[in-house]
Amino acid sequence: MGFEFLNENRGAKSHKGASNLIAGVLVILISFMALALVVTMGMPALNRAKEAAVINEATQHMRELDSTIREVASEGTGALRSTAMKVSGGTYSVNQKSGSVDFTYDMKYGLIEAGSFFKEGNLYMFSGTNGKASEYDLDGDSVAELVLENDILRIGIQKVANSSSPNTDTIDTKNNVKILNLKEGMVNVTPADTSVILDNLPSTSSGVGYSELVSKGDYLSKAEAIVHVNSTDISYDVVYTLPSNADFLIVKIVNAYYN
Amino acid sequence: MKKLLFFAILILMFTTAASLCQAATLKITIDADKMKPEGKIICKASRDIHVFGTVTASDTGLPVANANLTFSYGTTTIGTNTSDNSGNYNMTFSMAYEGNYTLNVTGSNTTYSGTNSSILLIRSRPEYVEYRMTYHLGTSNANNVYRLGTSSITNQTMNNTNTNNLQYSSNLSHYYICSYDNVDYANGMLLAMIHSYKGSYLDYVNFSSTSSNPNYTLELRNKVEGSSLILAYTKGTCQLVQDKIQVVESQAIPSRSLAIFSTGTPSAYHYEIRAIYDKIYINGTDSWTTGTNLICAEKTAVSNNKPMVYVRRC
Repeated sequence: MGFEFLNENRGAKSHKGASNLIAGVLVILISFMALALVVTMGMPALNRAKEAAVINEATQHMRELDSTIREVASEGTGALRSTAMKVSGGTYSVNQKSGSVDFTYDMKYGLIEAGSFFKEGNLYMFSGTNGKASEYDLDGDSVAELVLENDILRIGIQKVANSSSPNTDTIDTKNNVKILNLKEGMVNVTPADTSVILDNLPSTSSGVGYSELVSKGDYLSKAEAIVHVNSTDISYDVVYTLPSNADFLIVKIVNAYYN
Repeated sequence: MKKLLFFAILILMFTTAASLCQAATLKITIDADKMKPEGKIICKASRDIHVFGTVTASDTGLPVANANLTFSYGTTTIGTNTSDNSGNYNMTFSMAYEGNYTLNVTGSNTTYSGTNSSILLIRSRPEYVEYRMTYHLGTSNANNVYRLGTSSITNQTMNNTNTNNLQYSSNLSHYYICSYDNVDYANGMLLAMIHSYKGSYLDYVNFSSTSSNPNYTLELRNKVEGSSLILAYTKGTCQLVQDKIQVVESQAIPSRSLAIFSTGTPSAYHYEIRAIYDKIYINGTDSWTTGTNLICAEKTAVSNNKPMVYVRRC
């Protein structure tokens, strides 16, 4: 009896040891599962929060920089301001070609919907990645154009010389936009005249100059080309911007002054 | 009878006096090296303006030599000169400040006097830009329809006549001009020129066509500084532009594409913020990324009345 009791006791001890082990393994397993769950569920939320912080930070930095630039511009020559920027993501660059300061960031968590555009004072916001800027013959006339492209549109801008030989070739803004192509249904329109005329002076629609892409490549938030015209009376740039996912082109005159 | 004769003599005297008065004028022409085709002199501040012309007697048409000429704007005299034996004159001057002026040339001699004037615009940067689009949608313009953003929206059909429909911004409720074709294209195709920015920055929109030309022309004229043009080319009719115009008017550019397209959502994409300026030249090529950066903005010069700001890491 005593023996049996002893054995029973032994068995109970042995079972207790086994159940402790199983419980321990279970606790570890559950902990790992919980950790995996937290990592799986929580990391995107963390990354989203991080992305939101980068966007907020960039918006603040760009507003501050915009304010600094305008302040300095309103003062005398030689005026200087410095501003400290603590950057936690994205790239800031000065783009002399388009006369702008740009911030770019690769978004992964869809905080701002792709293909949305916004303007606030001097600040433009674009999001998307299907902008493409390249050079090829779009209208089939055996002459390459500067092609601004996204998922919706293809726009052919006349290609004339380049900025390294700015005043050698004649340029007529009549031919600036050679073709507009809507990809859905492949519908084309080939304008006969896309002139740009300043201050009612017919002479300003043509002159010498060049055209070029602001940056060549794929996966851009916008495709952009500049046509520089040095006419008898006025020198200016026409900037054509095709935002990603847009079915419209933004056209703007910059750097315009009387000769 | 005597009274009648008296009145006849009186009328004759008045007529003679009037014709004598008319004869006693100088006809002064104004031309300039900076004269533009529309008859305005446009020049930058502090640049030489060479004004020249001839002085003739309006009755005989003959040149008037040694006429005393005064050149002025408002109450300010720019200078004086006399015409030569051929009646020609010239004057070179410059204006210190930008603005819109009227240049007056006043001439006189012992017999005659006269005056003429010309618009004189002193500026370094152009004020207005006109964008033009000449085209037709579809196989011909026959099925094209155009529309302006007037208060009562009316679709105008092309009727192969000479048409010119110019509307200043004051006559428009919405600042666009658009044409479409929904016969050749089942879903419709439109091309629109939309003014971006305040309505006061738009001068006019214009539709024009001629019976002999298969194309027609849309024009939009707005201020160079501040505004831009949205050139929309998409499926649909101009009603789409009308429906989305509020967004353009409130935030300068459409927040999304005007028509709906199934382009898919990319897993990753770029977000860009751009600071761009009409009234400032931005110089520099620096770029910076993660970390603490000290950024300097320095006004280095003023070119064409526009400040030049150099932005760099410092």
